[in-house]
Amino acid sequence: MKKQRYMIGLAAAFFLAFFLPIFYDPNAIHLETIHQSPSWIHFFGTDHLGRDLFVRCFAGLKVSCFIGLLAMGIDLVIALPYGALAALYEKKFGFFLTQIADILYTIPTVLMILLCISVFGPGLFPIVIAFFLSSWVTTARVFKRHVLLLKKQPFVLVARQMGGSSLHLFFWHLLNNSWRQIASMLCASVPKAIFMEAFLSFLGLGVSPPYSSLGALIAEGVASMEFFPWLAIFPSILLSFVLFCCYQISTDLQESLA
Amino acid sequence: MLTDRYVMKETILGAVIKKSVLSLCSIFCIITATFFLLHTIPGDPFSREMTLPKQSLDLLHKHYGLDLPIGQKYLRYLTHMASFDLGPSFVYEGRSAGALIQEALPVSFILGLQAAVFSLVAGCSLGIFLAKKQLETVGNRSAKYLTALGLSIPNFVLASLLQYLFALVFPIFPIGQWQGIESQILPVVALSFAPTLQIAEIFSASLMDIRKKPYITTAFAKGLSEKEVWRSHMLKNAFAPVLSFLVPLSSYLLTGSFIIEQIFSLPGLGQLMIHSVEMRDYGVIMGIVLIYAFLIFAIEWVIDVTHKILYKGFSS
Repeated sequence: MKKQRYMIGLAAAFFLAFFLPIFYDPNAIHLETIHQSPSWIHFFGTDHLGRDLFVRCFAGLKVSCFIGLLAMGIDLVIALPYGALAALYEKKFGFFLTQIADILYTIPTVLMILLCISVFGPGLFPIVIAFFLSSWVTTARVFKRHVLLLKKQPFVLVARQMGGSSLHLFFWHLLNNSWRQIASMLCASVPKAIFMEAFLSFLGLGVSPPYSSLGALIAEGVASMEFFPWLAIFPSILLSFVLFCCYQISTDLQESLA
Repeated sequence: MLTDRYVMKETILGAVIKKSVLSLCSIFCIITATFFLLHTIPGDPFSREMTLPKQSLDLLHKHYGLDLPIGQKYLRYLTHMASFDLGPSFVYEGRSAGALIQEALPVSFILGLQAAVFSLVAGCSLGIFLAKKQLETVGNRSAKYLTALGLSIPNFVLASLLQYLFALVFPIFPIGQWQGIESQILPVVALSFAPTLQIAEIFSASLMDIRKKPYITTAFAKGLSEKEVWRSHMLKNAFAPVLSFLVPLSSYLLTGSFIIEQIFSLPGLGQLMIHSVEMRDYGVIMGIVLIYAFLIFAIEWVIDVTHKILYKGFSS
């Protein structure tokens, strides 16, 4: 039941993120209702242009959600095959794959993203490119170690002895025994990506102004924290809540492995 | 059995040399990749100044050597770099990238070092405390909750909050300056909050893991007291995962320092980098990437060697 609690929280947040911006325009300006404190009409209050913060927060969460799912997808498409190849063909070309991953692992993601931003200009696109270049490395390394451990298990050795090819071993024996591991790894990569996007938007290098992003909202709120504290508090709480749920789900998955 | 003998033969010195060569190759690869990434895309630092006439632009390009073919530019950069010349800054006129970096590096370095030391000391103490709590009450999950909490409060939120509370509401610490120890407390705390909790979780998990090992049972059977077992058997062996965590930690501190420097307006490398990225100041960007790559590989190298010396005979 505990696991479901976080899942439900996260699902509710993402559901609102997808459907709220469809019905209410997050960028609609109402100059007659600027800087309203939280009330039953505006749950999170309004900002300096009278835009409803509740809608804007969830519109921002949509961007986070997109980035998180993207990181997950990249992990699934690049990291898993990469890790599996590096582990299965350890003696042949696995060494080079491992070395490349080691080099990429030491380059911080933020450096990669900043480089991409200096090349392509600010926005969501360079972040996506940088994720393709570097966000999958951690997962690939963990998965490689996992496959290496599994490879030495008796049932895999027996299967190999009976003449199973590497591919058969991978798809039939290794993959079937690592679904939970994979799920936990994928869950762990989502909050990292969400944090990274919020971080860049906070610096003003992410999503461009008319559109909202949690990081940008927090940055705006912090600037006027003295007078309108709700502008900073609500986006921060929402971001922390989403990250907390993601981490808890991934920890629970990891514990169910043991 | 052949592999066993091979492992035995691999001496510490050999491993160190291999590591050094690999690190140098990696740094070279990173520099090359960065250089070509930055120089093959259209546009340059001056293209944002639309008002400049074409002749002035040409002169500027000629002055900074931007009109050369890319191969020549690359060779020029490498030869300059061999004599520790990182080239000119395109934005700050008359100043070299090296001078700018030299000015900013100490701030970031001291901030990172203080945060690393603080998070190590506080994290390990908290880890021991949590492990003891876990031994007392079975199924204590406070360590897990603490880490999730630490990771889910973004450091920029925490930094803003700390700054607001302890500098504006209760003016205890000065802000917006980098002089004296009291101006460094808030940034260091904000930066080391998450890694402290992470280290605590890793250390306590590792302690609990080691506690179940047969040699600990043996140590107790020998009649050693709880304190002696902790001191002579558990602490050192449980430290290995924390040592491995130092590589991601250094990369985290670097990421964090970008934001912390921005919020507390400290004149460090992170601020310089963000400013250079906004202005497309190639010389400075290349310089900072080089410094960071060097720092990170140096840290990794040191940790690797320490690991080899501390845990001789153990394979990581």
